[in-house]
Amino acid sequence: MQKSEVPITTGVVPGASIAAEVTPSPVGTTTPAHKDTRADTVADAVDRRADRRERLVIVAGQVGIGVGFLAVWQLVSGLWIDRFFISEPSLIAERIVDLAASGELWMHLRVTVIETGIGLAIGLPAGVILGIAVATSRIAGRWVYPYIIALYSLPRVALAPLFIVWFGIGLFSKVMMVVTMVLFVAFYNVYQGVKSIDRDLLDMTKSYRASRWITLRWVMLPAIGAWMLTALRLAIGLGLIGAIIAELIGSSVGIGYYIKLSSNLFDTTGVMTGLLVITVLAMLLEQVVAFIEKRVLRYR
Amino acid sequence: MTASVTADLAAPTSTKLSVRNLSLSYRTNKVRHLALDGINLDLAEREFVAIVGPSGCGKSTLLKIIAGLADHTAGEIYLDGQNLGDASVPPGVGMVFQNDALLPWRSVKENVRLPLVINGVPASEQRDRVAELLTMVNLDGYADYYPRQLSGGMRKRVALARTLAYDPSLYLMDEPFGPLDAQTRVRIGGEFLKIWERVGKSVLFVTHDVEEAIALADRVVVMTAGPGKIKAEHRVPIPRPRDYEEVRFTDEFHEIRQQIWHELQSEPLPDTVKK
Ligand SMILES: Nc1ncnc2c1ncn2[C@@H]1O[C@H](COP(=O)(O)OP(=O)(O)O)[C@@H](O)[C@H]1O
Ligand SMILES: [Mg+2]
Repeated sequence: MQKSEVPITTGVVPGASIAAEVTPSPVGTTTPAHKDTRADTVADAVDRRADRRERLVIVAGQVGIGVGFLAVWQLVSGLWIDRFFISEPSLIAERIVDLAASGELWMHLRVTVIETGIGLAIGLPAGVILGIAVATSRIAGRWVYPYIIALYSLPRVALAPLFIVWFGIGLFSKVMMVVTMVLFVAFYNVYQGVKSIDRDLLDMTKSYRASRWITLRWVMLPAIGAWMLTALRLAIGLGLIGAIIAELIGSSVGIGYYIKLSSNLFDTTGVMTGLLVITVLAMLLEQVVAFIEKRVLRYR
Repeated sequence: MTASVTADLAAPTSTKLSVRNLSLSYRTNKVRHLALDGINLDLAEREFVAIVGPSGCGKSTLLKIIAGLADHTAGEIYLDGQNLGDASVPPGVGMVFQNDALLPWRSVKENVRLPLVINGVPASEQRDRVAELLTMVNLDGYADYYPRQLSGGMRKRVALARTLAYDPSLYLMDEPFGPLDAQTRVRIGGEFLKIWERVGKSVLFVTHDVEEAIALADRVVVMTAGPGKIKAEHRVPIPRPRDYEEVRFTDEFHEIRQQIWHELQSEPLPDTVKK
């Protein structure tokens, strides 16, 4: 046995820490909780101004690109490329005004939105439930996983004619098309989300003997929140595509129907108008998702 | 009433946890590795036992097995005399994880409230209890902060408060102060010692810091590097309540530390053991 009397410290200097012990507040705080001073108020104002300037630059750039694109399009068409092929923004604007005035725009838009909406309302929850079920079950989940992935890679466009045979030419076949488009996105994102949950968090609730419901509410759903929002974002675009495809194949109303009709008449402006309406709709919905995202992921 | 108090005081000799010949082996690339080899360990009611050992010797694995979060391949675990089956999570066992395992999407007070929700504590009592616990760990005024806004030391306090909220009869602590800087580590260790001396529950405390182990524990168990085995045990004869910093200057402390250092030094380096 060694008999050294000199303490071989492991990096801890006992004397140094005693001085720190005097203050009762927690150590190492990066954001000390103190009352706002005047300097803080000034600093806040400076921060806010910088934030606002940055946001302005970004929005200006976004609008600029859109306007620039339309301007080039307007200039080029009729000058270098025949209007027959690419139409032109002023014609499309005129058409939108006409369709809105006659009520035709709302009629088509309403149907497409309803189809997409119902499809999302069925497909997303179904995908989320399926994703959680498959990801959390040890055996049964692995039985069905390869089949779900196989279905995922099926070209859904080819299903459209079948769906019309199975579900008729009305609303139902369109809704089913939307469902097949969005269900897999929701499934896959949620599945990956659940698989990537921090093991320690699940071990923690398990060691506390939490019920499945509490684990789902406190750990799983919040942990996959970002994944579900990604799924929602992708699903809105895909859902609209699904509805349009189904309408192209067989329908008597909807934006897809209007595009098909215009295309049969070689009416490029009509086709472009339909596409533009869908694009604008997708952009508006994207804003809604961004708003939800900001609220849900505030903890980051 | 007096009778039950005396009975309680006499209780410390009864066994809380008993680990018998516990082994764990696992297979990688056709080779079976022995991770834990015949671990025998007893923990009395209200006893504080620290486990020290080189990193990778299976300390975390041992705690996880006891907590029912991992399987073992041989041996038994008895909690309050009950034989625990393979990977069944026993009641009244609270784990403090090596990383703090806080829910990033819940505020400090919500994180601490979780075990109360699980235990079915009435909603009306939850708020007061959470406030009380946050005071206990020196986190007054931080109830509405999110984990990412806190320093490492403060997150450890939250994790500690959460485990206290669960009110287990056995605490399993896996290097709870591991990633902290030396000064914060000593401070939180001291605060924890005071809280524990008040709460008085059984603790199995894993650490790689020999001084921390001696200053906190009634008994220090030394584990060897892979396969994890118990090499030695030291009773720490320093009376309680202890002053977490002052105990380090006592002769008993130096002597035990010297012995443990010697035992650990004769172990091969963890790097040469792995693979
Ligand atoms: N089921 C398992 N599969 C693969 N490796 C394992 C398994 N269980 C334990 N190990 C290995 O055993 C060793 C012990 O790890 P751990 O308990 O984390 O050690 P410590 O906490 O003492 O640092 C590690 O090298 C780990 O990789
Ligand atoms: Mg470990």
